[in-house]
Amino acid sequence: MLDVVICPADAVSRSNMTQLQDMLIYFDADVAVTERRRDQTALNRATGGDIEIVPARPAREQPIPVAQSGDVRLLTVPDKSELAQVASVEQAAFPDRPQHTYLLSPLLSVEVSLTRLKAELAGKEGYEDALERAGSADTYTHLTTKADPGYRSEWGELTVHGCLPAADEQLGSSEPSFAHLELRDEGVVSTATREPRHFGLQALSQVGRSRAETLREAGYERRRDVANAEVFDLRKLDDFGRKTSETVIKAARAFADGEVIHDGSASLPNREPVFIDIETDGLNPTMIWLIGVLDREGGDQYMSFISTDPDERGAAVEAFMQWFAANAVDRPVVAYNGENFDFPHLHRHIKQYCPQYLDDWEQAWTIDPLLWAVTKDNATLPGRTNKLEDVAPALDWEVDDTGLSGAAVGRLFQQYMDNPCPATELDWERHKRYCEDDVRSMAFVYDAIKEASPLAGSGADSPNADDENSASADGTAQGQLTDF
Amino acid sequence: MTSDASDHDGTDYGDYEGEDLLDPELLARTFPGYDGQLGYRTRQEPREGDHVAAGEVLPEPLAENLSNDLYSHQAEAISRLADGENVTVATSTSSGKTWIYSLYYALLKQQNDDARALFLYPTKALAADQENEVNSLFEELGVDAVAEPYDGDTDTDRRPIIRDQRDVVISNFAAMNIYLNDDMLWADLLANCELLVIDECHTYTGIHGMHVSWVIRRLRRLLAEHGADPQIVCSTATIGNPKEHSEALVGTDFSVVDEDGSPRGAREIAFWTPPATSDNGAVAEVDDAELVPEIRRGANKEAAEVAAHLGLNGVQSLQFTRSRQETELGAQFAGRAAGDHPSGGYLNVAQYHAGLSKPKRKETETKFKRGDVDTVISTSALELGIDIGGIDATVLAGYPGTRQSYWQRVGRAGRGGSDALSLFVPRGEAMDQYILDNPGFLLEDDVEDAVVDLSNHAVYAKHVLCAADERPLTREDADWFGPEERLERAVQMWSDAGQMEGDLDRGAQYNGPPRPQQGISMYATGDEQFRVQRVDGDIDMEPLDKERAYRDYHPGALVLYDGKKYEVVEFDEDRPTPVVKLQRANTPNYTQTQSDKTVSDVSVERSRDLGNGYRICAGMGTVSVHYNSYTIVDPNTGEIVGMPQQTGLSPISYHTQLMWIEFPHNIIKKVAREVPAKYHLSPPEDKEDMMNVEEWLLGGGLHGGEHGMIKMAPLELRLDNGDMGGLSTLNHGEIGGPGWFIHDAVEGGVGFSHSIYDHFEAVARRTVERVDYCDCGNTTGCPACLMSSQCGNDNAPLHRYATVSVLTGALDQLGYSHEGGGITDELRL
Repeated sequence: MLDVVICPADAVSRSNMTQLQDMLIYFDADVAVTERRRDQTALNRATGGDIEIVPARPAREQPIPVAQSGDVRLLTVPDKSELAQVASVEQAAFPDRPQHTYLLSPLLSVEVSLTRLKAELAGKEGYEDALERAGSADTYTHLTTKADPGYRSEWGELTVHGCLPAADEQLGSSEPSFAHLELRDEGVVSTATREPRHFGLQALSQVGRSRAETLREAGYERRRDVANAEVFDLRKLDDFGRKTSETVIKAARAFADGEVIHDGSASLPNREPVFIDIETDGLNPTMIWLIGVLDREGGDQYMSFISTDPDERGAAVEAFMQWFAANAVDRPVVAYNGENFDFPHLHRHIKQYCPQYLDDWEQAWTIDPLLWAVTKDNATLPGRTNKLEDVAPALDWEVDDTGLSGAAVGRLFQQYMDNPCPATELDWERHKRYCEDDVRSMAFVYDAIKEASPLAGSGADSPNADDENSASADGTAQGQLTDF
Repeated sequence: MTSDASDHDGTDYGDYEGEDLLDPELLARTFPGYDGQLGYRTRQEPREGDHVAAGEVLPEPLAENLSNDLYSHQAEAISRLADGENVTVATSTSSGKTWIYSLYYALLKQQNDDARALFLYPTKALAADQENEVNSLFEELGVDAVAEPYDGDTDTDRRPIIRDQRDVVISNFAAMNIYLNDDMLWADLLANCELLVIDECHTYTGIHGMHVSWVIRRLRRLLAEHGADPQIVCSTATIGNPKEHSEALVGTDFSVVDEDGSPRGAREIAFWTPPATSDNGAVAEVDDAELVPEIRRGANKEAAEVAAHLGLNGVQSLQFTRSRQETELGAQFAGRAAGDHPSGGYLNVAQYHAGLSKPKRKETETKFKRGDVDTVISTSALELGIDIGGIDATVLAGYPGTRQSYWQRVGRAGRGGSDALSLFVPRGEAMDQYILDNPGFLLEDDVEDAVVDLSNHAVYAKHVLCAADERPLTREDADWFGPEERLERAVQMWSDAGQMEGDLDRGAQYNGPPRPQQGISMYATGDEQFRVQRVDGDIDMEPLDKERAYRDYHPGALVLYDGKKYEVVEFDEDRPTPVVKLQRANTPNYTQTQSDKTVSDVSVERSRDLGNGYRICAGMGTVSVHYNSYTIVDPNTGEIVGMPQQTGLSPISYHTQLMWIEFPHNIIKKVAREVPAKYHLSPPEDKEDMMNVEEWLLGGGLHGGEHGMIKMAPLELRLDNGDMGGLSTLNHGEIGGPGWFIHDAVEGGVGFSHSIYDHFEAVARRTVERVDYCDCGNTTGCPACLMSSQCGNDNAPLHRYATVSVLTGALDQLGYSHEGGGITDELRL
């Protein structure tokens, strides 16, 4: 697998050196690709020469940059004439053909005409001709800087994948961001994007560009510096009131110490919950094919409810509900970001495929730790973002590093659904393991939040418990309703 | 207030009884400065109500509680609904349409206690207004049901209660578009919905109508998903095509009830022309929406004075005017007029518009109802059904744009059986002048058809994307988004664009950024919306479409908004949300944008060969407009100030619907021959080496024909000619000869130009008549007949005689016969 970080010009412009360094440490890539050639200097300084920096548009007359790791190879091609030489370049540099080659270029772009109800891949013909002359084909994936990393589509023989954030609004999201691409064999690409504000001081809650500037000018270069500061120090600075200073320092400490900091007096329930995570065929799924469940009550039981038959769309959901209805109806159900994803989709699929359990689900006590902590302002989580994949490692969870993004898994499953056969079949055991790891990491985070609670042990027993009379640890008089 | 139908003087307006208020002699005596303003006058005889006992269509327990009988159309509608049909009610305002669907819901509720309903309105204000009326009726009927609005203004705490418990949820389409994303929250309402009501349907036309049509389909799809199949009631003001329109809007069959059984008193209708301050032949190129100040104040001021006169005579009146600023001015004029009035009475006057606070508006509505206010000056905000009780007279400052709207406003006066009065005070604009010359057009002809066209792919594609976000799309969804082939293309396109995954067999799911519903702007087709801000304060303005921004709000433009003048001081496209920044400007000047336009890539979808080389076609094409420069104009002299300025903008291109007319190659000779030599004009110096006299003449005829048809189209069709444009040409490469194009000015089109194609003869006839009889006396026309404020070519060349010549040439092919009396008499036909 080849780990690549894409550095668009606008994201680099919005980042200072600390942020660039933080970003590179975070992504831990093999190769960094810069959209703008002169950014190579800045990135070189940031990495100290540790990773290979490659321009997205190499100057002509220069050899085509090639990066390889294991079975995967990446070539950056500036124009069509160079494309024709690709095969010979590969031959020359690396006589052993790798499993998969990725070609990165600006040569392909998607043009969408709403009024004609048609999308076209501009540059396709010339590109294919050039490739043909190179005498190659099917073991290529074509990365284009004209599309967002979320973009992937098959155009005849060409598999095209985007790689530059904010490249084209019509094809994806538009905030300037860095993108991490895991280029795997078999053409599978797992992507993640992060904005500049997730790095450096701006990663701290309530710190944007101007406050970061203010902090830097006052001598606070890194998050750890802020963690060591006191509220009355920060309050002297412009635009730092008491509340802001408290929040910022709390966030810095959470980060630096790898701990959850409890903010309110609300607390998580006493009852041992059931932790779940779902795998689907996409973001608006037609099928939930795997539900991982961790039940630690009286032991440690992990279950996978799985359906590998695309014609049995509701089998996994039904099996899960059958277990749930019989064993766990009165237990809290916990899913990270469940409010936005797992719970609504489960609700819909239960209604569609096993409506006999709809009441059981609608009465279930659902908890989303992300919602509880961040949206309802009950805790500050460590990590550059609040995503599980950032919070868990920040708390020292050992991440199973070879997991795929949800989007990538969804795509693989769709491919399988389109044509169920050994070639498209997923490695079910591997996916069950990834899912288990996700569930366990979430339980780990949940425990950490619970442990940080000043009221550990005096939490609610049911969703309607009214905690108005509980006093919080630091003596503030009014409690809050435990609200879910 | 009932009236004696035999009182043919028709002088019982509300509290007023006495001499005929419109008697010219009386006016000469009592109206200050009367100078013969009263012109055409006619009377609509009163109509008795046609009543049906409630018991005939409603079960006893309900019927017994009703204190009044029903009108025949209410009974008919309810009866058809009870038969299981979907019904469109197309009767006048204040004919009790709300009762129809509220009563029917009560009936459903009696049969099934779980039955719920969804009532949808165009605006939040109207929705809020209906809440009272509906709940009062439930109370009267003794039905245990409650209706409550749910929209952006609803408290967060109340939302779950309304969703889960309220029998009738009242909302609007902009809100529904967003709520569909969370359909599971609405599961109970959707599953138990037995009645869906769509009110004020005639307002759903053009781009807005398209968006509403698709939201209705997405809603019906989710209703089906939740197991419901509600009956549907469409309520509309009178339009020319209620059945066609409601069926296009909703996508299912409707039975139409349009015989109005409500009583109506006699109605006096008259035209009141402000004394001429300047001729229609003003040479100044006057922007239709920004008339030379004197003329404009003329209509509003005059109307206000009339309204004051009526008010002082005990006739409660409602004046309609164009803008918020005009309501303020109007109230001032009315107040002053009352002060100067010989009768020496006190006039209680109020303004009304959507910018006023809710409490303020409510206060005015209540006072007006109680009779504590004599005169209200309002914008179109009071045109729709908000209850203001029974007023006696309406005064219209300017033609509201459609007959449909005209009758809607007239209908606001004289509820129940009382008599009413309505006065029309024209502005200097083309249509207003046309109506003065042709009252029959306004008063006798059928109201316009409402145009809603679902063929615009750009709008369709966006709603398909939202639908995929609500539920994965399958072949069954061709029921809502078909035909299947179109849906397949849309899914394929979005898949290729990476915004959807899957296909119609397996299920195509949405795969793009969250909440695609937020990306729908219910009043536009384009993606790029320019926000409008002020550098020196606040301004409350809807975002602009890119073309509008380029054309009217380019850097340096002087714009009039809500009665105030602004200069565009910043134009920033280089960010995710483009923005235009205005600054208050203290100048009477205004700007005119020049543009170069091309039409290319033309494809024919339909055509009619009129014979002898005349042909009309409808199809698609690419319009490219370059708003490259502008001039500053002094309205007092009509002259250009300084040199033309560059806008610095690039051309805009869009693919859209259009229609065109092709002329035979010998048309140039025909025109040169028919138009008397004394009217042949030489081209100006800068065009001399490009065109000779004959070409300049033909050019004037073609250009005039294009302008004229765009101006007159709204007389026939319910469309907004601000969303259209045209291009005339002596020789177009693709159509191969002389002619002109009329196109929709939005990406993908909205059905307007195609509608002109469908009604070509009627629109062309109107145009000829207007140009023929215009009393501007100018060979090159005037704003009332040929000149257009939207013209990118400085309104040149234009030629009345040549225009009549080319149009009659085409119309002759259709058997048109000319009446005499106009400039046609001078043509050597």
